[in-house]
Amino acid sequence: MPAPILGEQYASLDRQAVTLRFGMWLFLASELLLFSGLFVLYAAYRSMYRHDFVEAVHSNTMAYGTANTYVLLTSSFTVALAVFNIRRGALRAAMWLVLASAALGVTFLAIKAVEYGVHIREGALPGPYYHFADAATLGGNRFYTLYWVTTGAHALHVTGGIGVLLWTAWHVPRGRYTAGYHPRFENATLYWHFVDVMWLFIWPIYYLV
Amino acid sequence: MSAPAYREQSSIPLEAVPPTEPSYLDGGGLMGWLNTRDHKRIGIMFYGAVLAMFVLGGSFALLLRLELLTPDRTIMDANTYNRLFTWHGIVMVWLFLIPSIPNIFGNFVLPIQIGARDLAFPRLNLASFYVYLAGSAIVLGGLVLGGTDTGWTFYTPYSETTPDRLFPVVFGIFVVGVSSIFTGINFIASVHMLRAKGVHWRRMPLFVWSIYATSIILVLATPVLGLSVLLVGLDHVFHLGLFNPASGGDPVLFQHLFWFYSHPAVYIMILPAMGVISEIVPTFAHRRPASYNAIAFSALGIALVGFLTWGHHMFVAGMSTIDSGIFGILSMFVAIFSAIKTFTWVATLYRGDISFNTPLLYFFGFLFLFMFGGMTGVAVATQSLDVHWHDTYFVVAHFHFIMVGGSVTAFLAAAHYWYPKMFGRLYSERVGLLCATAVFIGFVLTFLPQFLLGNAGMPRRYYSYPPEYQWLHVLATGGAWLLGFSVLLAVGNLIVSLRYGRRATANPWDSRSYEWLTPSPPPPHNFPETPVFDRGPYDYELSQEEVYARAYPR
Amino acid sequence: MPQEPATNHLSVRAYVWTYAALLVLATGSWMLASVHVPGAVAIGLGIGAIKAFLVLGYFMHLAEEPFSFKLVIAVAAVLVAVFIGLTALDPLTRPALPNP
Repeated sequence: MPAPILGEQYASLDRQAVTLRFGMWLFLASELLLFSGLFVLYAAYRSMYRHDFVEAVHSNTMAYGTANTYVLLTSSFTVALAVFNIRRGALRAAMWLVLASAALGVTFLAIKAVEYGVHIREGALPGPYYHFADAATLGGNRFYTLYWVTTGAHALHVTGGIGVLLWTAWHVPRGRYTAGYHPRFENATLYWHFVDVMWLFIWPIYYLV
Repeated sequence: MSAPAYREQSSIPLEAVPPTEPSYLDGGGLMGWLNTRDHKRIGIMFYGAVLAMFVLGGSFALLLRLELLTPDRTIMDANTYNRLFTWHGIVMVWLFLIPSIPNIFGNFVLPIQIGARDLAFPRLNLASFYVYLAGSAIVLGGLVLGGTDTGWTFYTPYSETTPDRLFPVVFGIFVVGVSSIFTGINFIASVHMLRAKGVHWRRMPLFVWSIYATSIILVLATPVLGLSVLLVGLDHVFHLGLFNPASGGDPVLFQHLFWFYSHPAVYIMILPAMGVISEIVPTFAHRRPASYNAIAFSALGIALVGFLTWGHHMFVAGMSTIDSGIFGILSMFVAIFSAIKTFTWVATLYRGDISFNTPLLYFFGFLFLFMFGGMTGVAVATQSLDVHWHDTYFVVAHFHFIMVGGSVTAFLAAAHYWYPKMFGRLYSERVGLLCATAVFIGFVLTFLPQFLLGNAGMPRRYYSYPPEYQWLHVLATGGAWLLGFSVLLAVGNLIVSLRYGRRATANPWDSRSYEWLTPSPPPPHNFPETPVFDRGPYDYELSQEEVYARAYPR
Repeated sequence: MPQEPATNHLSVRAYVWTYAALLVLATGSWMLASVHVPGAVAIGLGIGAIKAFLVLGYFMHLAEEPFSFKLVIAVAAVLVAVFIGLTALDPLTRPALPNP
C-alpha cells in the first residue's frame, strides 16, 4: 500500500489533512454562492408574481420531489456512515457505503428523468416552449423556467457527485486511504452532502410552499 | 535625482544569507516550467500571459481613442467601435486586472512572506494557470469570431437578442472565473494553515492581509459571475427570456446578479494594489506603518462591506428608490476604509527616512489619482448626483482613475519593487523614474478631460458626438497614446534589464519584510533554511545585520 | 503513524438519530404542504434550514472542525441572505405597475 505523501510545505500529515478539508469547505462556500443566484431569481420573481407562483408550485409534481428528498437524505446518511467506518479502519464497509450512496444518487436521477418526462408531456417547458395548461400564466412560465434551470444545475452537480463517489470507491481497494489519513475520501463525501443540502432548499420552494 | 538612491547594497555580506543551491529560475528545461509545482515559476508564467493581455486590451483602447479624435467616423464604423469598447472592457477586467497582482505577485511573494515553502495546493495553483489560459483562449476565440458588442456588462435584453457569437465569450469568462476561485481557495488555505512558526496573524506582512481579503471576494463573488454569464449564454442560445420583459422577465434582475459580483470585483482589483502600496511605503520611508491594525482590518472591511453595495450601479435602471437609498448609504461606508488606508500611508511617510526610488514615485502617482478616483466614487454613489452622471464619461473617468491610476500604477510599482527579488537584477533607475512620471502625466491627460466631458453630458460608449466636445477628446487621445508608450517603455526597461541589469543582492531596498530574507532570486524551496521569525516585518529600529543574525542564528 | 485509526467523535447512534430527525422533518414539511397555512414559505425554508444545520453539523462534522471552517460557512450564508434580501427588496418596493 503506498504511503501518503507529505508536501514539503506541511509540517505534518495531520496539518495536510486539515488543510485539504479546509480547502474543500472553501470550495463548497463558492458552490453555495453559485446556487444562491438561482434562489435570488426565485425570490425576486416570486415577489413579482406571487399568486402565479403559488399556483405553479401546486401544479408541480410533489410526489417525485418528495421521493427524491428521501433518496438524497438516505444517501447522505450512508455516506456519513462511510466516513465513520473509514475512520475506524473498516475500509471495505466504507467502500460499500459509498457505492450505496452512488446508487441512491442514480436513483435520484432516474426519478428526476421520469419527472422531467411528465413535465415535457404536460408542456411545462422553459421559456418560449412553455404551454402548460395548469399554470398558463407569465408567472407560471417564469416559475417553470427557473425550475428547469435550477433543478438542471442541481442534477448536473448530482451527476458530478456520483462520479466523485465512484472514483473514491474505486480507490479504496487500491490503498489510497488509510484509517489515519483519508482527507480526499472525506472531501468526496462533503461534496455529496452539499448536493443534498442544496436540495433541502430547492424542494420546499419548488414543490411545497 | 541623479544619485542611484539604492540603499547601499554591500552592507550585508552575502555569507549572512546562507549560500544555497541554484535559484528557482534554473533547471528542469521547458517541461520543468510547464509542469512545475513551484509557486514562483507559476507566478512568472502568469506574468507573461497577463502582460500580453494588458497589451492587447490597451491596444483596443488606443484604437478606439483614435476613432474618437473626430466627432464622426475617423478610422472605423460604429459597429466595430462598439465591439472594440466591449473587448477592451472584457480583456482588461477579466484577462488582465483580476489576475494581475494576485496571480503574479501574490503567487510569487505570499508564500515567502508567511515563511512557507509553497502554497497549500501547488497542483491546484498550476491548474489555475492552465484554466486561465484555456478561458482566455475561448474568450479570444470568441472575439476572433466577431465577438460581441454588448459592452463588458452584457446587459439584457440586448445580450439575449444580439445576433453576435456571445456564447464563446461568456463561456470563456466562466472558465477564467474558475481559475480565480482556485486561486482564492489556495491563498486563504495557505494563510490559515501554512504560516511558519512565529508568523502570527498580526505579524504577517500587510500584503498578505490584502491578498487574503481579496481571496475572500474571489471565492465568494466569482461564482455569481459564473452563474450570470452562463444564464446570459443560455438565454442567448435557447431564448429562455429569463430577463426579457416580453417573456415576463425583468432585465434589472440580471443587473442585480451581474453587479453582485462585479462590484466586489473592483475590490479584487484595488485591494492587492493597496497591499503593494502597504509594502512599498514602509520600505521606502524606512518606518513601520503608522498603524498596522488600521491597514490590516480595513482590508477586511473593504472586502466584506464591498459585497453590500452593488446596487449603486443601477440607480437609474428602474430599481426601487428604497433599495437605491440603502445601496447609496452602504456605498458610503466602503469609502471610509479606503480613507483610513490613505491617511495611514501618508502618516507612515511622516518623519521617515525616505529613499526616492521608482516604486515610491509610483506611490505618489497612486496617492493623488486614487484620491481623485475615490472622492468621485463617493460623488457618484450619491443617488441624486448619479442621475446626472450615470452612463457619462464622468463615471468612465472615475473608474479609470481607480483602475489605472490606482491598480495599474500599483502593478507597475510592484513590478519594479519585487523585480530584484524575482530576477536577481536591478533595472535602470533613471528610466524607471522617467516612465513613472510619464505614466502619471499621460494618465492625467487622458482621464482628467473625461471628468469634464462627462459633466458636460457626453455619454459613454458613444461613437459620435457633437463637435463642441472634440477638444477634450483630442486631449484624452493624446494622453492615452503617451500613457501607452510610457507603460511599454517601463516594461521594456524591466525586460532589457533581465539581461543587462546589475546583479541584485538579497535586500537592495533595505526592507525588513520577510521576502527580503531570501537570496535574489530565491532557491526553489524559498529559504536556504527556514528563518527564525521572532520579529515583525516592519522592525526598522533593528539594523539589517541584527535582522539577518536573528533570522539565521549560527 | 498514518496507520492508526482516526477518532470518531460521534457514535453510530448519533448518525442514526440525525437521520431519523431528518426524515421526521421532511415528512413534517410534506404534510404541512397539503394544509396551505399562511407563512408557508417561512416555515418551509425554516425547516429546510434546520435540516441543513443537522447535515452540516453532524454528517459533515462541521461541529467538530476548527472555528475557521464555521466562519467560512457563516460568512457565505450571511452574504447569500443579503443577496436575496436586497435583490428581492427591489421588486417588493417598486411602485405598482399595471400588469401587461
